[in-house]
Amino acid sequence: MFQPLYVAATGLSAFESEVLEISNNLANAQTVGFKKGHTEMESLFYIQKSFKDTLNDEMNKIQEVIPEFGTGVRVSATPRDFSQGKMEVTNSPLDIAIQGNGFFQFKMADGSIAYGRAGNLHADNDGNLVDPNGHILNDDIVLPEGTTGVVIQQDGTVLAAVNNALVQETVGQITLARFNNPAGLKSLGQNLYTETEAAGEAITGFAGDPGFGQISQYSLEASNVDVISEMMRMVMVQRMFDAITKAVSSYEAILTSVQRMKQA
Amino acid sequence: MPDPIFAIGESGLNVSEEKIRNLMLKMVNAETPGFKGSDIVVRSFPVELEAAEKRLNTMAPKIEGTYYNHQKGSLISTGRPTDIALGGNGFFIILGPWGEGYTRDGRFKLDSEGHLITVTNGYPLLGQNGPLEVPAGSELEITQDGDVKANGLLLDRIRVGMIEKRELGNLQSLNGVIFKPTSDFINIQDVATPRVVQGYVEASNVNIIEETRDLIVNQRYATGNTEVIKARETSLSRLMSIGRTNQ
Repeated sequence: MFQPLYVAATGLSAFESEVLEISNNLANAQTVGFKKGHTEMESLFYIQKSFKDTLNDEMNKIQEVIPEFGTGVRVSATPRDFSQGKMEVTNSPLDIAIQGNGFFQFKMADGSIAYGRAGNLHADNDGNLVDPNGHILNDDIVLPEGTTGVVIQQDGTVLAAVNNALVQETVGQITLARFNNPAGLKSLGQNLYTETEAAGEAITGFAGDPGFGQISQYSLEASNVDVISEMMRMVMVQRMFDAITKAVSSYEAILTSVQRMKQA
Repeated sequence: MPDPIFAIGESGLNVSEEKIRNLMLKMVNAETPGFKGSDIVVRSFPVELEAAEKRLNTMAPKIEGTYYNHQKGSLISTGRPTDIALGGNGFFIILGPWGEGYTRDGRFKLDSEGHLITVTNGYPLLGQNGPLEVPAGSELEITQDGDVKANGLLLDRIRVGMIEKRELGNLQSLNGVIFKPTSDFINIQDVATPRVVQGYVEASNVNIIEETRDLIVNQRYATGNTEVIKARETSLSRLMSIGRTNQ
């Protein structure tokens, strides 16, 4: 009883999570290095009902197809789309972007390593290169005191000029990580991701190695959210909501009519 | 002995309940790529023989099976390299725990070993030489003929199988997207030159307008059945009042 309502409920909840995903994408349309997520729907597995017990043997011969009853839809995954975002030019020497598939590596408070694409780095008061949330870059690059100029080369080598010196000294090289299946990475928030079994183990290397991409200084990777297509999805999901709600109210009308069947 | 008219009205209501349920299923899956809508097969005719023996009792409609609409959905651009759609007829062949499965849902993802697996339950996609395996971190290219290339290097060709129209009924669905063969199923023929489109998925073939129309029809059908029962009840209660003495 009320099975149609349960089916409709699965649809409403699946589309609700899609709205959530779309809103999240739209809200982050201006977030540096943000990668859009998309909702993958799958229909739930069917129940095969057999009516054979209600029919005689003669009938079984005619019966060629087994009735199948679907149970609804659900969100099977919300993978992230790691396609390249647009490059934006900035004025800060510590703004770096990766053109390619690599990830920056950051040290988390608990000692684990998180991976991110956002390269809006800063120097903290000890000269460490940190992300906006204070996570230190895993390569332990420390800018010497009195640094006046920083050059980050395409391969990630960091050069610093101290007190306007003409000769710049190398202070370190940024290593990158890449994954077999970046879509499997788990999002930690703050633009950071952590490795999972699905993503495979992190492979580390330097920018310029095959598959890692290059680092460009004075630029940031914009989010790869396409606002127009997100809005289109939003309209579609809204109409789906309307259609399902209509179906629910129609079923409710049937129930009312069933209820009124018995006269007082 | 139950009243035959009540019985007919009741089975009519049961049928419309299942129909509405199936309709809701189609509606909620209107955005599920590769989903094939189905209809419930209802017939009263085969039971007529039996009805002749038992009088009116079994003339009521019965649900007999599920019929799948294998019409193609439209192609939607996603731009993701692991999304592929079939421009022509046929099915992708995947490997499920029961054996080969057929689907037109071309949403695949890479697992940690580089296999192309379905988004639903992670069944590997089959190429001519078994499950497809893509080297880590390589640029995936799938040509129109189904050739899978990683960094320009030919790996394998995706298997696309054609099933004859009259054979489609011998498929059993797992979830309306993935189909598996039944024991009556005869064969599937590999297509030599499939039309594979990378970066697209096939949308569900559910038509919301059609479903909304069916919804109206179903609602009226159900109301009609309740009216039948109501009318029968009224006539029965009149019948009872005949026997009552006037006071």
